[in-house]
Amino acid sequence: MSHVHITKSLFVFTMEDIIKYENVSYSYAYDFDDEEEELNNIQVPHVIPFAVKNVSFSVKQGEFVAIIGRNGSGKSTLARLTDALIFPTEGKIYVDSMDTSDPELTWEVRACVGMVFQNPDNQIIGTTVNDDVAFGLENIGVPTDEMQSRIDEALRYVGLEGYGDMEPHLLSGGQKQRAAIAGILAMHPKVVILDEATAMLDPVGRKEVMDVVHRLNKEENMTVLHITHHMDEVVNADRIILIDNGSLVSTGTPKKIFSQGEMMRKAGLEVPQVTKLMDNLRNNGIDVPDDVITVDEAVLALEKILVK
Amino acid sequence: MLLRIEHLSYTYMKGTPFEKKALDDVSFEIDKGDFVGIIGHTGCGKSTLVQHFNGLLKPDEGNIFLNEQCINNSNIKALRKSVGFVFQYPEHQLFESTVYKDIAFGLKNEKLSKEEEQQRVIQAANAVGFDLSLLENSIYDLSGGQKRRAAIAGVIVMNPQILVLDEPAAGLDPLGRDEILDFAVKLRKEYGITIILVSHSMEDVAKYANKVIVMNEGKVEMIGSPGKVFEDEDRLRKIGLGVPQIATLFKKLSVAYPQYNIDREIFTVEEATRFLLRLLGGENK
Repeated sequence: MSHVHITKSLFVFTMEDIIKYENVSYSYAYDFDDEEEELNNIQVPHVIPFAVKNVSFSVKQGEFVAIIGRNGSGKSTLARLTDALIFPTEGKIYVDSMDTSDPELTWEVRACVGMVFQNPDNQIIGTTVNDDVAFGLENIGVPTDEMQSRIDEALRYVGLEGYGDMEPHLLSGGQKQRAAIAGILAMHPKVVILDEATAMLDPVGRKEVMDVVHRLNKEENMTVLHITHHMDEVVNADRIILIDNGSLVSTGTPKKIFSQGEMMRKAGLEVPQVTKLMDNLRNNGIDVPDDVITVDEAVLALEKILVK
Repeated sequence: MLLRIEHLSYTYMKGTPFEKKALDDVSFEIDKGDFVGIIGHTGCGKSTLVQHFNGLLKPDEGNIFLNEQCINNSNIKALRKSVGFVFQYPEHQLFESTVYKDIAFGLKNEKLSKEEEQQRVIQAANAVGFDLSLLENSIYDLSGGQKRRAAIAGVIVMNPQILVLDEPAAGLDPLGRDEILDFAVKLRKEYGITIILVSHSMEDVAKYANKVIVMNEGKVEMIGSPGKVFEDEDRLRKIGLGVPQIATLFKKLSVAYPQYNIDREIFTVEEATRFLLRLLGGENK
């Protein structure tokens, strides 16, 4: 295992590509050891299903990218590939210029990419919030005297200052996810991936988490990959990656993606309520724009017509 | 009146330093055939409340009446048959070797003949749209959506009068969510089952419920039709809840254009489309 440079700055202000996916494919069927014994126990299907198929795109440093797609479309597989938890069957992924398939770099890639998972209760292991945040730091060999200051800084950032000695199970869902984010921040990553990290939270918890993530993105230029089914969480993203059946369907600004209602429906997703309303009106011959995604934009669009 | 709650109060860990009043003088009524949405943020008492409906918790104070019979200390077994309960992530509760056995598990105490049992399982599987050809499969061979349906079928098979669904769509994509909630609508319509949906999603509650109960700090904050409840957006926001986009839009329009008589109780895309088309005189294709 290579040693991680703890002096790596958290705040790098460049607009270079931080992640690059080049013709990436992945099949879980390949994910077995070659041992004959195991092969005899599994049924190798005739057509090997690819969870991710020939996906290419890149993400710039400091970009907020939302990845959307129905259950089973390959979003989480893509996230795991990015964090070197699994490796491309075909193609290459570069994270901060590191080839994620290079076994020498696995741990550096994982230190560079912090991941928050869906279930808050499955990713907390410490008996106190402090211990939990410290876990990652212990793994990458941060000296004890430096640890506490990093933990304090991270907890302050996510608004959990003073919660260090608390038992994690006493936290709310939103607080648990923020503690998980603190655990990542303390490791000074360049990329944060939220893999449906808001799916199990109530509206208040979701807002708490999204506020922290947006602040990280804006203030610290942190690159964010946000995987979600909540379309209201992606309207403020710089870019949306729409995935279906393992392939990249479309990429563009939220306005561009949401204005294609038919494409969204085909991918098993839905557009914001006001976008759908404008679609319905337009289909009935009323002249309203096709890129309305917020309530205020809808008010503006209707004002033009109602005034007449 | 199918279910009547009178002055219900409940305190967790009473007499300890961790004592917490979870329900505080809660009263309301649910009619047969209602589709009730219970909303509120985490810790508002909604889960504590619904756990009283089938006797998982017993009231500290107050009474619960099912079909006008007080159920506080009545036969728990009969009560649990009348009130089916689908917990969050119900697929985690599957445990039998085949789907059929899992759905049939609750029937074991019913002393049914093989044929009767089979009939009930098939009826339940059909009710939730579960593919019958998969009944003999292992539960591990199912997709997430199929697992969730199988788990719900295992509750439906008991022929409950009331079905409580606690966040049934958590973690599902929009299509999967619509499927599950559409089944709830079908169960209500075809089998006359009263549905109680516990949810964080205003959009879901708006789309499906005919009665909304908003909980806050252990009390009933608001109760009424979705239109009435969503009209008071400020009050909902104050207790950490939102309203559907359409409700906000129509409130803003009604303030900006008093002359148009804009209906402030509109909260779904379909109603909004109809209303605006009428107002704007669009061609009806």
